[in-house]
Amino acid sequence: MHKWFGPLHVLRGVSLEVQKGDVLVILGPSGSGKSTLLRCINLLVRPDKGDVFLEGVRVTAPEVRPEWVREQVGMVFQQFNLFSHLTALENVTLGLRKVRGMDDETADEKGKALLQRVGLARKMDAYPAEVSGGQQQRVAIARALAMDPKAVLFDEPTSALDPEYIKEVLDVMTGLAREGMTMIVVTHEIGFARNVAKRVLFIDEGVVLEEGTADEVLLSPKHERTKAFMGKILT
Amino acid sequence: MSEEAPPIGPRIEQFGEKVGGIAIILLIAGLFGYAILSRKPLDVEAMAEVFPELLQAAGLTLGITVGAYFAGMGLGFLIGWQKSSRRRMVRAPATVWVEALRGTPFFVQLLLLNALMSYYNPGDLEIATRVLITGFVALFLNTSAYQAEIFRAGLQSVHAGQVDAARAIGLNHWSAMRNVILPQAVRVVVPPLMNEFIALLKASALLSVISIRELTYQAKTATSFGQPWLEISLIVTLLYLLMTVPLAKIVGFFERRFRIPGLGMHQEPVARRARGTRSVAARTFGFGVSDGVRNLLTRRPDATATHGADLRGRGRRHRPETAAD
Repeated sequence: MHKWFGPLHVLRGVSLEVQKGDVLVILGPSGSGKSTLLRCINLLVRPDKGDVFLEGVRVTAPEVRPEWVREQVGMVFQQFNLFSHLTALENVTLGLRKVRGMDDETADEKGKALLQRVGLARKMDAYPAEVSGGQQQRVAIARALAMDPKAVLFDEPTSALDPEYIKEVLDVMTGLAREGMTMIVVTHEIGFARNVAKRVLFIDEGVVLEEGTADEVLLSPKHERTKAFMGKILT
Repeated sequence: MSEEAPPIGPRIEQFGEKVGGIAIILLIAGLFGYAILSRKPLDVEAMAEVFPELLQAAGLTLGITVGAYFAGMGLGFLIGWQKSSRRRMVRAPATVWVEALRGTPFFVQLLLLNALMSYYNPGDLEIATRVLITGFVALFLNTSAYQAEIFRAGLQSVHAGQVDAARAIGLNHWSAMRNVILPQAVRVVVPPLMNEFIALLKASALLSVISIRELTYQAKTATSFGQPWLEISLIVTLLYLLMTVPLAKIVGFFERRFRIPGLGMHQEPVARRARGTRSVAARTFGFGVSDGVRNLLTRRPDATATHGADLRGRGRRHRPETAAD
């Protein structure tokens, strides 16, 4: 996959594959193209070259509606991006009601179940600005799950959080992984990568430098730049 | 927070402050008024005589302003939307429109339009009709530019992440606009839109120069027929105030209604309304106007609770707070 922003070549031939039910963690210094890669996968950004396949369907084909793709692939953002004018429950159910055309009763039921799952049933009537960052991010996860996605993309889900809230979000994500959700996670949380990730990818300057199991990439990196990066984040 | 929170200050105190304040102002005004009037009393008879026609003229002022304002809102929204576009070809004409209308005095625009209309006189209109249309169009065009800027600012105030999130759950462009961007923009746009209405109402006084029989024109006419200047000016001032001041109240009310809990500088100690009655912005755009407007008017959020659900088959919005789990 390739992506240019003007003259800037952000993705220079990244290629990856995730099996159903696997968790792939992507590491890399900032500006290495991780976010862009995720955004290309659910077509928030269209890759300039290369294709995305979802269960064998080439979703980058021009006749495929990007909305359809995004329904199948959930996304959780670094800044949560909850809809600030809607309550937690309305945030979770918006897609069900407006994209799926589900009636309010059914959507509410499903939304409540999802909020329960992320441990926030009591906050369903709260507005985003009224709850903590960790709670916002959990609502955001519930929102992504509402569409019954085939995979969920996490774009540094804990980077904007105060340390005390990181664990609750990671716990939810770990639970999700154990239940067999397919996940692609951009994160700097090494512990999470080691516990949960089936495979780890190290990206720098738009290319994959290293790929393997968590321990392979984290503990015995082959590449100089990977070593330098690991040295920085592991200490 | 060991025990109960202290009670929120009773409204009666605020009310008392207001009454006291108004009483002081009235007292001072009364003293001044007496000091002046006792030397040279106002011609109350003349005032009573011209009042009906001034009131009628005020009606025209209000009517033409309201008409031009809302017409300008439609056009202004479209132009504001254009201005917030990423594409330069879309943006450019909107920018020219706004700059041209914002960069020249309204008075000059009015004179130019009047000159054009009287020179070409499309449709061979009668003079009275022609000036009326001229005045209306001038107000309409002028306000469209200002409102375009307001809407542009409102649309651009919505964080890009909100759009990303809307698209990420599969909403298409229009649906994201309707369900996410607009409801958030409305909040930002209400206060400046109201300013604009007041500014437009005051600008409508200039229509008197092309002899539209609005409030200011009527006042000038009355004085030229020998009615006393001071008395009439007082009435006119008062009538303008009567049109603008209540508006500020109405807008304050809407602002409070459109408030999103947790946003803004102050954590207001507002009692939480029952579920499904808040976030009017969302409801107005996303879930139909009728309930929202009815609630706004009645100020009784639960008033529509039961039959509303029956009528629309949407129990969810009307369920009383359960506070279950």
